[in-house]
Amino acid sequence: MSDTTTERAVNRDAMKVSDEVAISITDMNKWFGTFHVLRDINLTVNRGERIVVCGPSGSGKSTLIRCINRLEEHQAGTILVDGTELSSDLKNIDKIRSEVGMCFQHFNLFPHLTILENCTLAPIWVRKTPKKEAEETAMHFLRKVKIPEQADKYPGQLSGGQQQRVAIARSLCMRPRIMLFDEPTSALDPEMIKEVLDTMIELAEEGMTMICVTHEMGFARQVANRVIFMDAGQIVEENEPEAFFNNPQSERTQLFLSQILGH
Amino acid sequence: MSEVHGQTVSYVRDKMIDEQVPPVAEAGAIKWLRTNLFSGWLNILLTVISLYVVYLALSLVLPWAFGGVWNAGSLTECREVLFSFYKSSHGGACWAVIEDRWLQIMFGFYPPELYWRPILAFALFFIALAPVLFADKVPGQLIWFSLAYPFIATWLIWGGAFWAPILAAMGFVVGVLVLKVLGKITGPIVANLGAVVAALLWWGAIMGPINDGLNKMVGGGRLESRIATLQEEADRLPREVAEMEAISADKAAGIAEAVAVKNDMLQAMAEIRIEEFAVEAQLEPKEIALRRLVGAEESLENLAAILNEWDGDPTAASDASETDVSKAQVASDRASGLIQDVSDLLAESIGDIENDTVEPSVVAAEMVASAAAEDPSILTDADALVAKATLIDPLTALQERSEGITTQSSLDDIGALRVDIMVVIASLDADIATLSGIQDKIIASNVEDLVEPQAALLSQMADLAALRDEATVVAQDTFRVSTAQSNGRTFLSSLMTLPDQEASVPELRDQTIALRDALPRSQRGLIAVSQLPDDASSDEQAALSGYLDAQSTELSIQASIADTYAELGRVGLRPIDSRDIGGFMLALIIGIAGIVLSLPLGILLALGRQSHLFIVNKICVTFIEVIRGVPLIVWLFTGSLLLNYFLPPGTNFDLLLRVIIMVTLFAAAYIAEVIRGGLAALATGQYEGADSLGLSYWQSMQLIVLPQAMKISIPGIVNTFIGLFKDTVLVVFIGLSDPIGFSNLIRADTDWNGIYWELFVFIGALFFIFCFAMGRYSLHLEKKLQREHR
Repeated sequence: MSDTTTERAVNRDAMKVSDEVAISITDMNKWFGTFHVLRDINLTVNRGERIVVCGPSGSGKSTLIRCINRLEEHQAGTILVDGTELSSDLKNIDKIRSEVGMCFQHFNLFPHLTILENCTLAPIWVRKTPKKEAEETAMHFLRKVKIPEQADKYPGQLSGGQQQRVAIARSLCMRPRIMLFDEPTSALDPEMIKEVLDTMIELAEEGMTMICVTHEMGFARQVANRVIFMDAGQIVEENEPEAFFNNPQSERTQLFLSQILGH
Repeated sequence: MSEVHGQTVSYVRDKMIDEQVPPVAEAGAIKWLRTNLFSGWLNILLTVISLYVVYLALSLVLPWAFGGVWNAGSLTECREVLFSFYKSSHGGACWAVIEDRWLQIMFGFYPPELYWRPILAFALFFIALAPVLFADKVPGQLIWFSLAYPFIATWLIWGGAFWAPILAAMGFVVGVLVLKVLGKITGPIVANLGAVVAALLWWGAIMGPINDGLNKMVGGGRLESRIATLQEEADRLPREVAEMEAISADKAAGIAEAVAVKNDMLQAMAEIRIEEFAVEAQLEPKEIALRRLVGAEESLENLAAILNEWDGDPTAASDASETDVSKAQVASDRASGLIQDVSDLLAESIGDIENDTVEPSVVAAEMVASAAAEDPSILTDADALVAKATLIDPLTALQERSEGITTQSSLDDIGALRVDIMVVIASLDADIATLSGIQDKIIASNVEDLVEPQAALLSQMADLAALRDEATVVAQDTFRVSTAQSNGRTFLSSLMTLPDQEASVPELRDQTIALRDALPRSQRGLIAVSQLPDDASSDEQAALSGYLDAQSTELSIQASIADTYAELGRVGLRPIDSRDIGGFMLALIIGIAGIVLSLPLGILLALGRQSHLFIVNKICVTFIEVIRGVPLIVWLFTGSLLLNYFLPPGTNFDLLLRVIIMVTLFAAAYIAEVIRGGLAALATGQYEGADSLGLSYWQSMQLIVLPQAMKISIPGIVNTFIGLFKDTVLVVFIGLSDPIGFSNLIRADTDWNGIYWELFVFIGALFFIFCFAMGRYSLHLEKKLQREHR
């Protein structure tokens, strides 16, 4: 499972990290009712950095990245995205959402629109791009994820891997500066995981700032600048991939790694 | 496998199997029949029973429907024609009522010469509908016509000046403009409120004066010429009316003549049938007598059985036990009863035959005389009948003998009586058979004889109907011209007084102002003398009432001037009162308006009910639950009666408009719940997907959520629409003349008193066509969307 990307040589040199801060999370806390989901999260992501978040289910990984584009609301602490603070101000939220792309586990494509319409919808309505220009951009990104020939089909006619690539293209059409991936390969057949990861690696090579919640450890090793391990709503360990996988510090991390790499 | 063979056999398929044809019994029509009609004993049974039931229903309904009468002036005429065909006035439908009144059922009291207006409005409705229903097949610009359609249709149906719908539509334009301008300067809430206020301001305060101004502008220039035209008409129209009345009298005479011819034809047909009726008159009492005799014979048989068991007198046995005695008593009573029955039945059967067939031989001979000319075989039959005709004597003898029977009679006596009765039965039976034979022959020959008169009658009825149609046209013309004449006379007099009225306005206004200024400041806003404090002096009361009178005089003069100018300056269509709109057209107007208005309102309510905004949410929930929880008829009564109490006095709010509002609100509550179901069925991922792309709430609703939720809700929405459309017939209870109301009105006419089925079948068919079309469209839409989206 973890070796799906090894056939491809990854050009790590191209992935430069700048000093500019893209996301900064300070003392962030979140509760679902009385359940304390995220506890004192502190995280700074620089522009061009690739972060992989892993951890057991229920540890708050998804909730963390959903907070970054305010699909979930945090109750304490601050989140700065590109210098804009996430608050209840609707204008800020819409601005941040149009700068931050997101891919979901279940793709969340719009089934009543064609692939092309899925990709041009937000540019046309949010960015007010002319339709023709938006379609050109969409075709550009569809070529990039290698499915331009599916542009006039509906999502229901595509395979899972194709749908996820459309979802990535749809996000890219908004020209986001940051991409969030929420377990993008968890709902896919093994044969399809590779095509999605390849797309993500290509994106990484172009210097996109990325936060991925994923259990694809091969991907983490090849692409990530940092790997974050979460458990019980806290960041337990944070390190460069080599160090993280070869020499995990905390006992919880060791246990987790031994279980997912053990077979 | 490996254990059996002792080793593992590896297998690789080297040839793929080609596709093959299924077995004959598993394909095509045979398979269809087998699986759908005859898949098991129970299904075979059900298939046979169902086919029989369907056959039974159709064999009753189809002859009635297709054997109906289309040309007749009244229910009585219908029945006459039906009787001349079927010897029964219920053998077929009386569609003549539809032929006679269908225009009324469709259009109500709408003036016939203006029928083109609602018809045009209805035809345009389909063009307006095209961009909504078949968005992919028509040019997108047509949507502007769809938006303008409500104003065009309202104008076509109700009439009035052509600028009235434009002025009304301008209200929306003003609203949109204000929204755009304010939207750039302020936030969306202020802009929306501003737009609503601006539109209301336009409709309430600006539109009226502009309308009056236009009327006055156009009307002022026409005053002279219009007076001249009206004076000319006042001379001409009475002559026209007189001419028309003369034509009308001619037509009436023609109709009376045709009716007389028709009556003669009916008479002739009845005469052809007279033998048929005579045989029937013979046959019927004999059949009854036969049934009675059979009954008497059975009673005797039972009596013999009882007597046989108890051996003579059932009570006489000396050694009988107590139970035996009581059983014997019961048997004895039954035996006496049976004896009585036999005697009565015999007596009655004598009565039957005596009453109606005193001289069967005479009647038979008469029949023979006329029928024999056509069919000589009747002659021999009738001879036989005459020979056997005299049954009275043997029956009387039998009856006398039956009175001699007691519980003491011997079984032999009873047996003998039975045998003799059976002899009479046999003879009666033979009589009946002979009569039936004669009857069949007569009927067969009459059917032939009647073919021609029946065809002649139908053509006569058609001619009569054509004459009546002509007379109706003349009557309508007469009515139109005489109404125009009386309206013209009234209008002419108001035009003559117009200059005086206009001249009097400034004076009246000065007078009113002077009276108002004379009042104490605190009393100037009062609108009734009763509002004065209790201790007000009589002078104060007189002053106030004087002011109020002057004010109302001034206002009524001004209103009358405005009315006159509205009539004089109107460039457009003749106005039609809502009272004259009725029939199926009314149902369509209410139904279509309700459907078009309730869908957006329902969507808003559904979104409100899903909203996280507490107040909005609760308002929507309360609205939906209250509207939905009370029967529509209650809301209609509320609309027609109670609403007047809440509106300011003097407001004249069209009843039809009130009904449309009530129906819309009612349907919107249902639509809201149906759409809420669609919203709930949508995965949260769709909301998140839209959010993550930065779409605003309204954008994500409009582009992502509602298209999908509506698709899921299509069957429910269409179901609600069909229900709404059919529920429009409830307006009959608040005095609007919908199709059901007209069926009552038609029955109130003496010509059609007592006719139900035909009217309801017709009205039902009208509704069915529309509801079925809606249902089919919904299926088409569902399939189309399903194919596209999967």
